[in-house]
Amino acid sequence: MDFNDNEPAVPEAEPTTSCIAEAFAPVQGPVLYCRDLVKSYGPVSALGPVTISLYPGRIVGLLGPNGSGKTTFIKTVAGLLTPTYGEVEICGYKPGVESKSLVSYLPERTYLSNWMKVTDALDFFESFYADFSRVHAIEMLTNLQVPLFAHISKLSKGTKEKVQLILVMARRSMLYLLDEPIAGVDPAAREYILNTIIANYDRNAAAVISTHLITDVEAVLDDYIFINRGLVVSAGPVSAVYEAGWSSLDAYFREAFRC
Amino acid sequence: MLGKLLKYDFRALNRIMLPLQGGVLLAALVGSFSIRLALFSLNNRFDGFMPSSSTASLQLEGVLFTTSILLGTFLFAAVVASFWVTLFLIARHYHQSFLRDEGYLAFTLPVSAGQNLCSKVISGSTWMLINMVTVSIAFLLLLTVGFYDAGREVMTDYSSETAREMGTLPALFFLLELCVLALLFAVHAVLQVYVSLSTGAVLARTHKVLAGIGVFVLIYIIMQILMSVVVVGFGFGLEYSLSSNPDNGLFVLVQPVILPPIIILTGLVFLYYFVSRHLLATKLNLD
Repeated sequence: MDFNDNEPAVPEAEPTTSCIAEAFAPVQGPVLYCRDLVKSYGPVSALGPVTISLYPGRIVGLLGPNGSGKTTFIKTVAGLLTPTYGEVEICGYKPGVESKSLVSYLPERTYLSNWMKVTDALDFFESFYADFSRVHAIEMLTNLQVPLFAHISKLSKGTKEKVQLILVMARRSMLYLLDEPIAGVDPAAREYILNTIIANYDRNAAAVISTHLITDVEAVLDDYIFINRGLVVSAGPVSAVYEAGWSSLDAYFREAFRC
Repeated sequence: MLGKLLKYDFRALNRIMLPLQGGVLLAALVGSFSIRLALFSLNNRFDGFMPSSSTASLQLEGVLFTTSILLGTFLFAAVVASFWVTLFLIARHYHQSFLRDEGYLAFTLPVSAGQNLCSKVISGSTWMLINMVTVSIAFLLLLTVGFYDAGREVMTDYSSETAREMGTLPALFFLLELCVLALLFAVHAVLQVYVSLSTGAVLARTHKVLAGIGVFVLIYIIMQILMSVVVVGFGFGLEYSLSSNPDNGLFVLVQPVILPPIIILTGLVFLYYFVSRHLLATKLNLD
């Protein structure tokens, strides 16, 4: 992962750019490349400038306080927001039909139609995504005891989130963008979901997980990006945080964003 | 991909539109019988059952007439209002699919904004057309069942007179022109709603639906002024056509009235489509 050189929020034990670069030199082109990415709403800047490259085989935690720009970043990469400035490339494609076929995006809200049954949602994903595995999705839904013939409108918020996550993870995508994937589910299901994420993404893909629940996801992350006020304040491999003497990524995060 | 989008758009719309249009036909049927009963009552057809001079007979006739005419009028008002209900439901489907949470799925599918919009236009216009056909059938029921002999007479006279005045072939062509006009009207109505909602969503940070309604009203007012100018202008054209070529057939004479709306609506359909597509593709920022 490469990132732009903004001022680190925590001078102490801050992993440096060079140490990150040495940790894993990319062997192929980036899955995600953002250059000087800026998103503004009138005079208010929501994101950037952010320059970042994500390479295959990495699970990256996008971490930051509320309103720091995590969702804006993910939505811009997913093609839901038009950047004010800068560029985004996914496997060399600008956001468009080709890039969207390579990105598996999980928003922080329910995006399935209420009139659908769970099986309709499976049909829907199977229709539009060539890389969707229906068998795999049904297996995961069954493991989480999600009723296949229930209407989406009848499911609880947590179950809806499980269904969406399973639909997203049942694809063999190049880039997974998961915005708060475990925020709405009970702690018991979180472990299964995180294991699902690890088990399903392949080493040719990259995954970005945006969350506040650092302790829960820390174990699955290869890299982290700390973002605040729309800017990347620190980024690198999680292992570098431990090597720098921090007991956990969560402890490092708490120090970096202490109020 | 357009076919797949259409499949899901029609599935979503069919669920609400089929019962609605069925309800319109049922209302028309009940309304027609109701009006027929009112006319039946008015013609003192109860004479055979009761003495015509009895108070009970007069009261029964009065109640029947009032109830039937009120019910018939109410039901046919509902039939006419179904146009706006249909348009509202199509607008709601568009709003939910593109401008609310479901937009997160719609705009991350591997399809272009144009395909997404086309699917909504085709499915929405189809249901607008079906509503227009349903309302037409409703009024045919009113004429044939509600007004019975009088209605049938009017229909037969009108259709045969038009065919005789125009000739069979031009009459068929005129019918085709009316169908094209109806199609354009349906597509235009749907796209006017879409462009309004999209513009509202792009312009406003909050109260986006309200902004969309505002844009719709503004476009509607401008369109009314434009159409009034065109109708008045081509009214003079028709008058000139009548005075300068009195020997022309009815088909030629009605062309100055029917062609301008076709041309204007075609232009607006393309304008609304390209503006909507541009807004969805490049300007839409989902909350």
